[in-house]
Parts: sequence; C-alpha cells; structure tokens
Amino acid sequence: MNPLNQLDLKEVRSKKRFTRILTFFILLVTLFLTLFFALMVGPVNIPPLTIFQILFNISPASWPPGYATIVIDIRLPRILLGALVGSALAVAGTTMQAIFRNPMASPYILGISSGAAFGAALAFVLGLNILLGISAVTLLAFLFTLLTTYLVYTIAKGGERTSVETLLLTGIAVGSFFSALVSLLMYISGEKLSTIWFWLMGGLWASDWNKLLFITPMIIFGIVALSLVSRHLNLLLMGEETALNLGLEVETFKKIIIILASLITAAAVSVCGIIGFIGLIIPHMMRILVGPDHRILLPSSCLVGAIFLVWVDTLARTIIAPVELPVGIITALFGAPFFLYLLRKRKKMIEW
Amino acid sequence: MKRAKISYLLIIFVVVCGGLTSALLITQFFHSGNRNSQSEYVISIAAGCTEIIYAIGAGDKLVGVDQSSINYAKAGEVAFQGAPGKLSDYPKEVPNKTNVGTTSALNLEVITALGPSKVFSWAWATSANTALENLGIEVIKINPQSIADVLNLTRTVGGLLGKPTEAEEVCCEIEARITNITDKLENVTAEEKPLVYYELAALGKTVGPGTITNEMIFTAGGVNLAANETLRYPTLASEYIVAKNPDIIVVVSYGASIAEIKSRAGWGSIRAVQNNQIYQIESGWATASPRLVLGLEQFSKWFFPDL
Repeated sequence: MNPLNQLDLKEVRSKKRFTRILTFFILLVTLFLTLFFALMVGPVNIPPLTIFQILFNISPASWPPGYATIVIDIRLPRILLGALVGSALAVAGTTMQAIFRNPMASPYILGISSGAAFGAALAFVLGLNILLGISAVTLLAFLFTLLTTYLVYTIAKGGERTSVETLLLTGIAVGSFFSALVSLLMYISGEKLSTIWFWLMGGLWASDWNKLLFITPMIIFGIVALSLVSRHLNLLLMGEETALNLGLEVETFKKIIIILASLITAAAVSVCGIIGFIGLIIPHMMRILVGPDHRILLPSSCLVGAIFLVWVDTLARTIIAPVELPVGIITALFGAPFFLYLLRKRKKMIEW
Repeated sequence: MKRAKISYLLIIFVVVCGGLTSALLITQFFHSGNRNSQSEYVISIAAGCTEIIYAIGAGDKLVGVDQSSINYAKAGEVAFQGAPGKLSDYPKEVPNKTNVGTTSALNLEVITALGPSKVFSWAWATSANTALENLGIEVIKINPQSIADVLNLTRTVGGLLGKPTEAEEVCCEIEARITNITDKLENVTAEEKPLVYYELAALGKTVGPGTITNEMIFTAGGVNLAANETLRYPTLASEYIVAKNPDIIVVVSYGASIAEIKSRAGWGSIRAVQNNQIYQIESGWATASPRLVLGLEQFSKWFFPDL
C-alpha cells in the first residue's frame, strides 16, 4: 500500500467520524429542545417564564402553590421517563434486529411483553400497592420480564449453539403462554379490567421520581454497554460464521447482547406498559436516514427514540385534554404513515 | 485538523450541557414544594361517590370529577328522577365540573392545579391512588360491596364533608324504601320467588355472588341464576341459561336489545321470553350508589307485579 492511499483512508475515516459526531450533536440538541418544549405544554396553562423560575428556583412563591408540583413532580419526571423509555426501546430494537438479522424483530420478540403484562396484571388483580418502596406493578412487570427472557433462553439453548430460529419460536410460544395467563387474569379481574387494559396499551401518565430513579441506572448502563459493542454488531450482520471466523465469540456475545437488551426493555416496560412501534420502526427509520453502521445507527436510534416518544407523549396528554389517550395508539397512528413515507421516498431496499 | 477541533468543541459542549442538566436535576430532587393544601374542596374519581356527595347536598364542595361521573350525568335526567336525597342536581351540575380524566389515566396536572384537600377514589384503582399519594394528596379509598356498605359510605362521606344530618336523612330514606319492598315479601314462599337472569354487556355475562346487583336481586325477592357461581362476574353458556329456564330476564341498558334476546337460538323456550318478562334497567340503578334504591323498586315491580 503506498503512502498516498493510506492518507486517503485516514482522510475518509476522519470525515466519517466527523459526520458521526455532527449527527449525534444535532440529534442531542434536538432532544434538549424537545424536552424544553414538552415541559412548556400541558393541560394546565403555565407561562414559560414561570416554568423557568420554577426550574431554577428564582423568586419562589410568586406562583400558585400547585405550579411547582406540576412542573417538578409531574411534568419533569414524565418527560425524562419518556425520553429514557423511548431510547431504551429504540436501542433494544436495533440490537434485537441485528442479533436476529430479521427486520420483524422488536424488543418484545422474546415474548417479553407478555411476561411484563402478566406481572403487571397479577399486581393489579392481587391489589398489591407498594413493594420494596416502588409500585408493585412496576416491580412485578420488571421481574416477570426478566423471568420470561431467562425461560426463553434456557429452553432454546441446545448444546453448544443457540440457534436464532429456535430462540424466535421459543419466544413466540412462551409469549403466547403468558398472553393466555393475562387473558385469564383479565377475565377474573372484575372492576380492575379497564386498569389492566389501559396498562397494556402503554402510557406514561403515572410517572414519578421513584420510577425514574429505579430505571435510570439500568437503562443508562444498558445503552452505554451496547454502544461500546456496536462495532461487533456490524460483524454479526455478516453472518454468524463470518463473525466467528473474524474472531468474535459469537455465542457469548449473543448472550450478553440479549441480556442487555432485555434488561433495558424490562426497565422501560415496567414503568410505562407496552408501548409498541418505537422498538420496531425507529431502527428502520434510522437505517434509512444514517445507514446500517451500528456505530452511528445505535446512538442515533437512541436519541431519535427519545425525541419521538417525548413528542408523542406530549400529544397523548394534550390532544383530548383533560382526558388522556394511551400513548401506544399515537405512536403507531403518527409513526406508521411517516415511516411509510420514508420507505416510499427512498424506494430502495433497507441496507443491513 | 479543523474538523477535529470542531469535534472536540462539540464534545466539550455536550459534556458541559450534560453536567449542568444533572446538577439541575439533583437540586430539584431536594426541592420541597408547598404540598399541604388547606382547601375545603374535594375531587371524586369514583362515580358512586360523586352521586353520594350530591345526594347529601355537598355538590358545591366538588371541584373536579372523573369522566365516568360525567358520563352518568349525561345518561339523562330520567335516570335521576325519584332518587333519594338531592340527586336531581347531579345531571345539571356535574358536566360543568372540571374533568380530571379517567381512573385508568388520571390527569395529575389538573388535579394538582385544583389543589383539593381530598380525593375520593375506588380502592381497586391502585395506580391512580399511588400516583395521587406520591403527590402528597390525601386519598379516601372506597370499596362498597353491599347495600350496607353504600349506607355506611354515605355516612362517612357526610362526616368528612360536614353534612352528617343530611347523610343520615338520605340513609333513613333509603332504609325506609327498602323496608317497603321487603315488607311485601313476608308472605311470599320460596316457590313463588322468580328465577332471574341478569345480563351485562354480552350473552351469558352476568353478576355472581359478592356483587351488589346479586344482593339487590335477593333483596327484591328474586333468585339470581348465577348466585352460586365462583366468579363475581361469570360468563354462563347459552345452553345452561336455556336449561335453567329463568322466569325473568333483566338486561342492562348498554347491553343487548329485548328483540335481540328474544331472537337468540333456543331462547324461545325460556319462560321469560314466552311470558314477555324481559326488562331493560338503567345501568346506574344497579351499582353502588344511592340510586340502587330505584333499581330495587324496579326489580320489586317486575318480580311481583301483583303485590
């Protein structure tokens, strides 16, 4: 290789890195603007100036007593939770699609959502309120999500190699089993039926600081860890055999990725119910927009997932205020047409 | 080189922004707002309780109600005619109260802005109750499962809202009207009591033991077809209902039409269908609220038209 070519390669790499950082930066700024905008709007009309005063605690008591609670204890945790959950689902979706090399894969592919639904429904039916300092619904949903993942992985594991197809099918079967249990619980739930039903559709209305404290460490840890291995996800896309030949411990790697993706999905689902669509479509959307390289795909999916869910949740809580729409309805209602538009406009196969 | 510099600047900017934001969040976490509201106003997110508050004449203390309280009001004034206490105000005033959302997804912002001293809520609405308590709002959890519970609840609410005399009056009226109904049953033998099938939203969906409607059917002198089921709201098979051959069918107002019930396959042989003993009842007349006395009087008329 002559020195000139080497220089070119360096130039190209630096250019690529620059584009990555720039994209990341633009998305991050958009996320900050989104968060601030979302903080401004709500069913109770609070002037933006008052919101700034409340946030930075300037001249307290110049606003009605309820306003500080609304901004600090209701809107802020809800918006931050929305951002975290959105990014968790988008990142989990991206990695699951890479692991399974299947465009239909989503964070819920291993039957996780049914497990979470069962945990939550159980807490509702048993009338459990608070366990270990956090909402029983959150805790049981979280535990059952992890249990489902564990079950699916253990059942599907055969010998030295865990085949992706077996994992998928086991996930579907275990998921159906838990769905049936959820239906059974709903059948005997009496008055609580509507509460369970609403939880299943997903929503962020009951967000509080406790939930945020519960999930933030897990989601941030999961996302950072997955970003660190994003380079290896690229290897996996070339096929497991190739990845193995290139020196990747495929089985261990898959296991770690599945655990991490399930952990952040469990955290997300446990606080806000089953919000569909984000984990499936955001990764595809970003693949169209920034390309298939996971080093940029993963962080940008993460940020766009956050931006998208915060916007959608803002709509959910204002569109027919004071009554709320379940956020899951709006994610698909607004997201699907936009995704279809992108798909048509590009008119090309999604690169993997 | 230039690109690299901009990259470093961007990264530094992001780190600084992140640091500032986390500092802000940490200070906010120790932020203590003025949470104890001294207001005399209350909110009810349990429709049955909203009705009780109106029946005892404390409607002016309500600042907010849930969606289903409003839905009941919109069901029409006829549904409130002849109800005990001051329920005639309910359909006119409740739709004008602030709507605080549904029990499954409360609008916490609106509730906080209203600053109530208490919120009356169903005991089973656990996520709503936890969310309210996290905001430092006192939640009165109600769970009336019987006629006696409704009377007790009326007295409790009367005590909490400073209307004990009015609450007692409402309870006396309800008790007197129930006694009127039960007195007539003194000479009724077990064989004369009609077998009643009470249908909810779908074929076979009915009320079992432990529900207030089951107790109402019993109090009015009927025998509930599903009184011995294990579930509180069981779904019975069509052929089981036909075989049991109920004397009377009562269907809730949002359920099937009378014509539809008559046309169901095999139902022509049921005594209730042959004798035209199928009735529709206003859904709010058979739930945990003072209006259950209207339902009881209606049941009594249908079960024993001659008494």
